[in-house]
Amino acid sequence: MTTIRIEGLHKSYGGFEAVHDVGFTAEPGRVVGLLGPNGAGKSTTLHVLLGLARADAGTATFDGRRYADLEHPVQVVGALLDAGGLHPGRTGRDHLRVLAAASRLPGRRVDEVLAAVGMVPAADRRVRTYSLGMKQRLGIATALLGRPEVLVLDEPANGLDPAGMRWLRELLRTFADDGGTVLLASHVLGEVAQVADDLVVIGQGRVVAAGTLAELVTTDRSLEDVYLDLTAATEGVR
Amino acid sequence: MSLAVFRAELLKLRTTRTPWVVGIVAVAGMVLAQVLTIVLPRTLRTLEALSGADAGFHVGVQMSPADTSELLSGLAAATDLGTATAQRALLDLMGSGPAGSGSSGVTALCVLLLGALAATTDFRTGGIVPTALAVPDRLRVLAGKAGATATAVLAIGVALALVTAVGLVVAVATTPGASLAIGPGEALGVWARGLAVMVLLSWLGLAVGTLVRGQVAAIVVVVALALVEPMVQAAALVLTGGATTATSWLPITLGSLASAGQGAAQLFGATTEAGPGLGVAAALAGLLAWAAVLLVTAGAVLRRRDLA
Repeated sequence: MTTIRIEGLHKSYGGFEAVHDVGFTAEPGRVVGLLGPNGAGKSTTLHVLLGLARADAGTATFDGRRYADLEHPVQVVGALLDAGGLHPGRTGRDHLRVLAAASRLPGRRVDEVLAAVGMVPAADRRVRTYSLGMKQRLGIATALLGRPEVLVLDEPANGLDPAGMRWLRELLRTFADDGGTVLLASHVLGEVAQVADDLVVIGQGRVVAAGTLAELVTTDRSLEDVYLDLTAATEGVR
Repeated sequence: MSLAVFRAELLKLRTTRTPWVVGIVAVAGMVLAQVLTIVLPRTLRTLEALSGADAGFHVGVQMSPADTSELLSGLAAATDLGTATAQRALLDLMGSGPAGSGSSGVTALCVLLLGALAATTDFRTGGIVPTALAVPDRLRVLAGKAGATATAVLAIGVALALVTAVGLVVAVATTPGASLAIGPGEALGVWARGLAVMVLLSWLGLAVGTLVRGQVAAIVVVVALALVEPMVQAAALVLTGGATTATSWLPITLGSLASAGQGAAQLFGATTEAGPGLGVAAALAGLLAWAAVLLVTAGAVLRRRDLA
């Protein structure tokens, strides 16, 4: 049971302020959808949370601890960012073996997560032969490798077919229902609407709305309506 | 260095093709150097015989038969595989050859590239992100890469040593009147120094790759290092009439000196401190200093840098 807490986060790249005073919380048992236009600051927020980028100010923690301070990070947090950092010349199984070795996880976990994401038949093929959806499944397998308490996923539905989307939705729902915490950055509003409990909307590096799905979305206004209203002022890339 | 990170980084190297290709190229380069080194004295003897029989024969430039004969005779003596010097040169893993004519470029370039690729492949593919998520301490990641690169380079070095051993046996067996002029202890010493130089050069490449990040840029840097340094060395020695030893402290030259081969300084007739004995130790220490300074710098930069 781990809570994500982000407070007063600031991050600039040169003169460009990517994130300004961002703050929100993701509680155990909840799927939190992180929404925003391109360049809004979603990925930067996730990068700082996961210790990949240094914040100029503010904190991003898991139960009060920075990612870098977690003793066994992959057993607390499973993450999928960008394309998952896959080497095209390596097999899917070897990609997982490398990360299992680095994390001191037993080799059998590789077989277990491959089975969990339905990638056993393709596990010994090189990644360059995979479709985008297969790469996403492998990335999700990577996130699940350490049996984490938290999932941080950036656009996990990219490239998934309808069956894959349903599989992902069920995976995230089950994960949260079992007490896990899910932070899900996505552009696919329909998917977020079907799985998220809470929403955080970011525009131009700032949180422009946060609350439960029920609070933000009514019978009269769909998530798309709400999202477009909230981000109208920040439309387009910065 | 964490054993887990070392194992993971070694697995990364083993499970992609590029490190294997680099190793094969290094071994092929050494095989070629050995063949050329063994064939060269025979070719020179043949040319010497021909020049004696045919007064009109010339090599490269028009020379009198007497000058041609003297030149070929001198070259044949310099490449005589029966001498201890030539036999040590055959065992040199940097492959400098008896007259500095071997594949030092290939061996040095291969290990530099292997180090650079061990760092830059992660940046190119984005693999540094899952790596940093599994191991947030970036100095441990760099240490693991250094250990894995060293292990891969040692494996290549052992293969090179086998090639040089075969080369030495063939050279002795096929050279009339030749016998082994160096003992097993000396042979092991030459190999050990060669392995140490290969590891240090690979760490140099790793540091360059970590600092530069871009794979193409890192390859350009290490190739330029391997190709430009001998030119700088030669230019400095020509300009100073062979009086300077300052350029002997450049990394590739230090590697060549430490590994029992000849450096450009000797080829140009300069006397350097980094000769046999203490000089070899000084050259190794100099190369170690290069690798240490660059790796520490790379570690400091990697620690502070945003990875995504």
